[in-house]
Amino acid sequence: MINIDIKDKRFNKKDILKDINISIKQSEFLSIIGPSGCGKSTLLNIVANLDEKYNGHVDGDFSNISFMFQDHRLLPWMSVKENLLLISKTKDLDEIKQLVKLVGLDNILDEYPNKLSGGMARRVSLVRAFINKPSLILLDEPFISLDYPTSVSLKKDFLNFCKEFNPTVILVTHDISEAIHLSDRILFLSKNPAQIIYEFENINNQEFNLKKIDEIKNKILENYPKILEGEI
Amino acid sequence: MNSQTKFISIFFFVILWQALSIAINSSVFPTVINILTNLSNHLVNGELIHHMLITLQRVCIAFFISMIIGIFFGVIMGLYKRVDDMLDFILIIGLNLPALVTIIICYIWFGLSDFSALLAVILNKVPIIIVNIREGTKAIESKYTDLAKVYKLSKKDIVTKIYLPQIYPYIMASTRLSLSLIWKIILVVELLGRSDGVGFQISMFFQLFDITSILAYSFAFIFVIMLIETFILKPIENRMKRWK
Repeated sequence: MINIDIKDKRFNKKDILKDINISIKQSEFLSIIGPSGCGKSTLLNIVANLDEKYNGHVDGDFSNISFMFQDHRLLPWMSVKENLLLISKTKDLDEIKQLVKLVGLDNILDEYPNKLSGGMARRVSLVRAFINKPSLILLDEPFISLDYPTSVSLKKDFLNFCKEFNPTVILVTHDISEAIHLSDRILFLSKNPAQIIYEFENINNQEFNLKKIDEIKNKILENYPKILEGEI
Repeated sequence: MNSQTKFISIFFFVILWQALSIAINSSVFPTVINILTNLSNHLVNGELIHHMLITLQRVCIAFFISMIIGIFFGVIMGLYKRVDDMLDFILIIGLNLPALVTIIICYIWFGLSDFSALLAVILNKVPIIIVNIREGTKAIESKYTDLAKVYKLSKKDIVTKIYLPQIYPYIMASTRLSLSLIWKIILVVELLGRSDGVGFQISMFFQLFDITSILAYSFAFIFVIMLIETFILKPIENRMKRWK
């Protein structure tokens, strides 16, 4: 169980986040949607303990977490193998080879990140996110700027890993369809300051069915048409 | 520059020098053949090797101590703004103090010894290395530091696998710069207050107006520094740059 209670987070004397109170159950997949620049990434950084300047507290087990950033963030001066070994707690190369194979990559362990395509690099960062079987995974729009088929297959691989390792996941995104596809619950944030304005739960979709995604999306928009005003 | 182009440029330089020296026909502009003959004489009688080894030893000691101090303070000043603010004034003094003044002060305070000579060179070169490394440290990308924090990497891994690879181009630049500057200052230090080393020999040849020996010693030393550059620094750099 993770409890996020942020009274306020200020930047340049302005409130970025205000009265954010979120409880996340173990193994739940929560998506947070909000307009660009509303403070979604800041919220994720607070949970990851990368930002400690805020009023409030975040409770839970953060001993084994991982983070998928907007970029693949592989260290360019290290090969794929070295990148994965650096993060791996067991340093088990066979396990790494197995995980890399599961995402459809082969013979890339000795390559440097700049030799990989964008999609391949994201797959390696996906492997890195699961390499230590984390209890919490934070996702900061990791599927953006990918072509459509790559993005779909990467999400599929991500969900397969989730089924196997059962982590709690927090995804921030601006894409409602992506949130519906992946998560159990969606929170909508406003801007200036970011506050929770709407919650949609029990989605339990997690399959890539465009028709079903559209149905849920329409239901959300019917229930809360203001979402459109927030440029989400 | 490939090896063929390098060879052609050296060949033309030698030809040009030889032609000019024949045309000028003066004892203060020796021919290439005279310089090479002189060089071989100094090599055969063992003088050149003896003095060059002494100078090389001083260069190595001054270089390693300067690099260690420079990297340490450069990293600390790059990471901690308070330390940077505190030491910045001393750094500016160090950067602007003429090498000659440092050398004379060290010789007056600590006597004409190897210690004073090395101290003068180190005091003079450390500020340049600090500035280089400090800028490199400031350029460390916080996104990789965030990654290290999320995955709770050990301090050793953060230093060796996150910080150092990002500072390394600045370390290499400092290595090249300090090596080329240190050996030149060592010669001045030897000229002013030592009784051995290449600098001392050059001062002797100067008093005798022996320009051929001065050039023979200088070229021999440049050749040694080029060997260090080709067989030590270049392979290290290639290894570190292989991911690019």
